[in-house]
Amino acid sequence: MSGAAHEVAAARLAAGGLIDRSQPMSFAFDGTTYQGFAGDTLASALLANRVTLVGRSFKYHRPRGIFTAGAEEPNALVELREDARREPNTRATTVELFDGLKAHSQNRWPSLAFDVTSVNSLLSPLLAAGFYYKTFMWPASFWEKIYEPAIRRAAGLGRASGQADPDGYDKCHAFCDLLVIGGGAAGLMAALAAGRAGVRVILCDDDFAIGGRLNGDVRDIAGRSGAQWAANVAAELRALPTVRMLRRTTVFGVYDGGTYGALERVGDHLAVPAPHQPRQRYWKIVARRSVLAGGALERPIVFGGNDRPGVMVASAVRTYLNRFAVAPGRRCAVFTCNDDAWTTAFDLVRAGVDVAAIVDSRKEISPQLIARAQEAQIPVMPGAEVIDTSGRLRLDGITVRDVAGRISRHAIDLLAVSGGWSANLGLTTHLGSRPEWSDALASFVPGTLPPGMAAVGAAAGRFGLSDALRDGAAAGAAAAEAAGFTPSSVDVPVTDAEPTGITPIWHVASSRSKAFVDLQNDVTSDDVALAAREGFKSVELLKRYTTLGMATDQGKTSNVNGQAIMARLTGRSMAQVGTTMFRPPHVPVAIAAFAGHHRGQRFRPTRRTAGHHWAEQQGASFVEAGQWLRAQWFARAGETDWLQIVGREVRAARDNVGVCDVSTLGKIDVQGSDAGIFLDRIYANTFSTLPVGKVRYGLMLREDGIAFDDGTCARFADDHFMMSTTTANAGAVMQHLEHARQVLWPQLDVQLVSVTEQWAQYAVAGPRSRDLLERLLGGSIDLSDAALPYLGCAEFVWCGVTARIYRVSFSGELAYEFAVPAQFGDAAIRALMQAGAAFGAVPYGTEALGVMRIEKGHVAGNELNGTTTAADLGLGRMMSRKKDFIGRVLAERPGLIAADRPALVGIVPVDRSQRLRAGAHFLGIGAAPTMANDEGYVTSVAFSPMCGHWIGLGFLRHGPQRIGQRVRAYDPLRRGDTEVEIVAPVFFDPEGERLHG
Amino acid sequence: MDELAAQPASASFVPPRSASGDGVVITERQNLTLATLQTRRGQHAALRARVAARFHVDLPQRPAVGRTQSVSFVGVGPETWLVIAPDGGPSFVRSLKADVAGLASVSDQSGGHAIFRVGGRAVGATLAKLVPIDLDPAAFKVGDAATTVAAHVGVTLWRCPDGLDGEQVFELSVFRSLAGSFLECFWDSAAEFGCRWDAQPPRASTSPSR
Repeated sequence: MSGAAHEVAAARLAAGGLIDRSQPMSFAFDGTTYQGFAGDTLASALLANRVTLVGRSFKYHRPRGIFTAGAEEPNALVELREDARREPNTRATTVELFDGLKAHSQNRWPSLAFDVTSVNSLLSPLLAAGFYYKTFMWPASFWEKIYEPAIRRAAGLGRASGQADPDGYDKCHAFCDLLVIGGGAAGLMAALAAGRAGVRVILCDDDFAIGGRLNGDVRDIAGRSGAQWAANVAAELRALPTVRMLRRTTVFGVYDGGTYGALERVGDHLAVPAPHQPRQRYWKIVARRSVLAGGALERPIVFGGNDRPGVMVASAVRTYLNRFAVAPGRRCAVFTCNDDAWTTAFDLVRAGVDVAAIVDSRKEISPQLIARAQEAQIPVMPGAEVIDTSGRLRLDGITVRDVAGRISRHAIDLLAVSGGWSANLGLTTHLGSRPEWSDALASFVPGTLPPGMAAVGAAAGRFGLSDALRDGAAAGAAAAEAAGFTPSSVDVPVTDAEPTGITPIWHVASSRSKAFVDLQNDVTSDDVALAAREGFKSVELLKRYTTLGMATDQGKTSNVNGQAIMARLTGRSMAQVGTTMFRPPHVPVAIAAFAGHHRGQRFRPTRRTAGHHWAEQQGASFVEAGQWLRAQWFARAGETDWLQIVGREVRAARDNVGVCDVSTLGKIDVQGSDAGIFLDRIYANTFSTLPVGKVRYGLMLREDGIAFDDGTCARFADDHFMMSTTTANAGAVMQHLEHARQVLWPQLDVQLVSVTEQWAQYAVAGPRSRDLLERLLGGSIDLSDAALPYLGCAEFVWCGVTARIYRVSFSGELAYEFAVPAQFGDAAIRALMQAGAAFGAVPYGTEALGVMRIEKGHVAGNELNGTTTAADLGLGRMMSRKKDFIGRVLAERPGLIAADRPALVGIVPVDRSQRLRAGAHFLGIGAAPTMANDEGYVTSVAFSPMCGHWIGLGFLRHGPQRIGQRVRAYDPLRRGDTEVEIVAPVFFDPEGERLHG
Repeated sequence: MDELAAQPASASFVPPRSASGDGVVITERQNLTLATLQTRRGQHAALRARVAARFHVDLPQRPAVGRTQSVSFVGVGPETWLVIAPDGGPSFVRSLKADVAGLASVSDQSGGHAIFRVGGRAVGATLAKLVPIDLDPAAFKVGDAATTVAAHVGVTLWRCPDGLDGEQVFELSVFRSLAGSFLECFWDSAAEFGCRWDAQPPRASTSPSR
């Protein structure tokens, strides 16, 4: 047998534990292959293989080992998996072992055993708390370019894969009468009491084995082992029809209205998630009541060298022994200030591990414990303290000062430490409640609980097992009663008793070497003292100044010790010092779990028009317009330049006829006997006088007098209008109208509903548009100028469907908008193009649409930009003086009617070959480019195929009075400085003759 | 020209792969006539009486469905209903308008919404991933409706009589333009249970409707 194999055998106990020895698993850490068993965590499997050095610390790169056996682990952070699935900062103590698992240590270079960056340890006097704040103060210009990048290179833990995550993530909602948080003794009893009564219960436990501390301790419940009792209860719960048990699920947040966030690690214990299974699932749970049964977390003691691999909290040692059948050391000692850790010593002896000493800081210790120790032949040192440790990459000894002040050295490789227990109450503070300190328990306990929550067992500071069982049963019964069920009787089983005495010590002040408070952030007792000296005495300032309690573990093992040291240094009580609060998430949650399926293209839903598929077939390129996808242009074979394509589309529409999908424009049915009055108040211009069968262009203002949205509104009956809005503002206009209807004028008889989705609508524009539509619509409707003049509209039946036609024009051409119910939109566009073939019809996209509207000087989103008034837009005369409307009063404010406000003009480059760019600012010829000389800005530009050069729209101070003058379009971002001529904002067909065909 | 062919909202949707089996079945209901019905001011009682007389349905006063063989009224907002007539034909909206003239405003929405019917063993587990609504059979009864969001897509859903397989059946209405995005999310959510596109909707049992 090789030496290594012999050591493995020695670490794994011959029998016992909740591992499945029939299922060996092989895994690799830093490239070396090891063996473990199903039921192991990565941490227990490493310890079973005597791997005790697993990482380097954050700041000083000190060697670190496995410190706990749970989610509170500050040290054993590893990179799990490889390539795209690589996940940094994974706690080895929570990773369920799977066959083929690969993990790597992090924060070391070049290797874990020889880490060059540990030179930081020698610089540690420089790296005390506040080092960065003090050192990198000046010169200020160095911060961004030199200091911050350098610090960032050195800092950070682990590396992200940098590749797309190949796995899926899921979200799910759940509803219940009772949410039980934690599957230990208290949680199981609560779920049992409620579940047996028929209550809808969800029990979440973050472990893969239900039972909590019952799995790590040797306890007796009603004559069975605690672990067996837990397994039996879990089996009963699984069989209850109204109980759902979620293993591997951590409740990480408490939110308003009885809402809880939880993360289920569905496939994290597999090399690759099962087909069609997500890797993780984010649960949003709405519960009438909840029971917090999250147990307690054991604190270490702060003493010199307390961070060496081989120093471990005492309860974790028990967990490795009892649950995983692993002896984490060969010769051990226990350092404690309480009774509970003595159990660790007894369990170690029972497992055949040599216990060198129990070092207890208390002078008076229960005689029963002393007697048991004598029976187990364990030397006891009452009133003693561990003041230092030794060992290079792992613990090889401790230095103890006994009650008489004598110093002794003990050669050991495992030190079990206990500073007492802290109620795991993070979730109780998420809605703002502050925990309260209990001197009797030496723990914070929950203050006011979130509505509907009860805390039970250790989470409430009731650390005894029989208390936990009793609390859980009572809380479950109460939840049943509250939900209207008759609680069924649940017998609280009898358990063995446990000693619970404690006299906290917190910190061995006589230690001379570095004594760590927060292992993850390398915060030492000296850092806390420095913070106290420099005035950062509040726990909130202590946290920010020293980083105590930050990062992945959020101070689960360190906060209370740090606060206690601060209390001692500043002569205050723990109650006076208090504690920081916890925010969600209670444990780290991957962003991917929150995102769920909404990644990449599916980050948000996409809206496609009825003609989308047709447009795809025509080779359209699409552009996002809010959620919509709109055809931007339709490239033909051989066309490579978008400007060339758009130019062709514009010319084809202006020469013959073009067809454009305008279905995305907002459409709102406005009905009711007061619809006309309502629209008069909404729009700046008048609509109540609009005849049936007519369309009018309308402009609406915001309450503050700024232009809001524009579009046409058609009247189909006395009590029926259909408003159209811009694509971008469709939702906002609907909200605005609903506010007006419901809040401002509930007395009006008006009904509103969006019909945007009902109508597939196509603009048909160009001199041959009437020809095209006459061919398509045949005898369905008379399209003659007399029957359907400019700004006329009609509803008619075509091919068995209700169709609508509006004679409106955004292009300035003879034009129509033709609408059919959306389920016929695909058929209609194909029919339109077929009918148009004889007239040279082409489809055109939003770019050509934009070019044609700029050629006509029609304003759009670039001009309706939330800062412009009707007058700025050249639409001042639309503001009726005969009626009131939203925005009328505030539009009269001095600032909004100032004569020198920039107003709409057209521009052309003086050198016609020059390109214009939107966003450029207007400056006088020769004027310095300063804010004082700013005269306005360019909003929209296009290359006009009809003019043969670039044209633009913009807002210029006194613009309309300066037609013919020249200014500069100054664009420092793109190094543009172009002389432009000011022209009227209509570049093509200024008389509007083409509108009438 | 001949009559135009109506296109299902799911016409371009290509179902992605899912687990084998048919934990969930989905189909698009087609050739429905849909309309929004909104009470005119002060005419609520009169409208209710008119609908009761004309359609033998009590207009639901909450998110719920009132239905007969030929027409359903889904409460989607205060004094607002989505009217669904499976065999209404194009004349249905015109006649509905005439029936409630002066009492309600009617807007044709036949092209505005896509309606999907979903059922199967895992339909509850699938919908739990999509909508923040308690769909437990005891909490959300046959005839109950809800207007909510499914994976950022606005939906109205209602519970139909259980299928012949004894499982819950729901119908969901989404804006037609969002049907593709909705189906993608639905398929993602159903993939682990096996999802099947069914030409035939899961037939409702003969249990009494409400």
